Amino acid sequence: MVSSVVPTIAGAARLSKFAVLAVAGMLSLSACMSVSTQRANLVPVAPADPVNVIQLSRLVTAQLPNDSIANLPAASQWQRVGALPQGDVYRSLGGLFTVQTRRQGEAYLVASSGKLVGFYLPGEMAYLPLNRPVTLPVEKRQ
Amino acid sequence: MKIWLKLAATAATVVALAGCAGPQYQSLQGRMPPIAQGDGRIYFYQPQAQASAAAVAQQKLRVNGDVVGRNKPGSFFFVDRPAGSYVVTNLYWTGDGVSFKLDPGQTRYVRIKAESLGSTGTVGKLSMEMVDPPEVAETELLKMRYWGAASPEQVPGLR
Repeated sequence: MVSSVVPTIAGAARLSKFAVLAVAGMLSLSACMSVSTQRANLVPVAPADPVNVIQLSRLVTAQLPNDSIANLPAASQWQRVGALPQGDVYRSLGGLFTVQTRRQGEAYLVASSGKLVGFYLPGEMAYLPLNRPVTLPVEKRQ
Repeated sequence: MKIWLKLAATAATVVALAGCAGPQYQSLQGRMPPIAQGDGRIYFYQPQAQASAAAVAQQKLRVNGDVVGRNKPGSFFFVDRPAGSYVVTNLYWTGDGVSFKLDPGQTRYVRIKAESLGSTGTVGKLSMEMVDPPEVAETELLKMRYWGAASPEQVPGLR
């Protein structure tokens, strides 16, 4: 009787240990992907403002502070939806655009002086700055 | 003997679960309640129906911190929320999940995936992703079964 209980307890202990390790692993992986964002209040474009759409002439690759990569496709079109102190904010016209931080977040690009300087995360009302802004090759403006 | 008992218990569970299963999404076309003016809709669904414990494990799903329901393999539910900014998570302590802006009249689709960690398959991690374009989600949803929600949104006559 005792001999049959002891292995069960040992097995349960092993399982608990594994569960703790797995949770710790998940937490550390999650921490790796997290990035520092700033609270941001988007000032939307006024309804009377003319529609401003830009089109990228080539693929733009931006490295996020957590080392993940965001690719803005060539020929993708973006409509200006507002502004932040950091720059103008453009929303993708070709469907959902997301960046991967600790969560998958819908993202709008933020541009200033012809460069992509960061992303606005509308679901979190937060600004994610890039460590290294990249040139935004604009082919067309409307 | 023990194996027979386990098999009998599994069969009983399967029968019980089959009895609880809601109708398929494709049979609910035209019966979904309209989205109220100024609101948007968020669908949650978990396509896979693997037998691993991790995939079957149900976790609470939160919209801006409020529990709205639980995942269930092969099932879906939805909630309506006022247009605005939303973060969907399952675990408080990691903050993992998805975030997005919900426009008035817009429908967002969140796919739930359960991954097994380790060889036993008893410990799992739930991950979420937004599905776009909507047609992809609509196709995946066709065979899913309605699972209800903790929120008041329900398909009339089903719960």
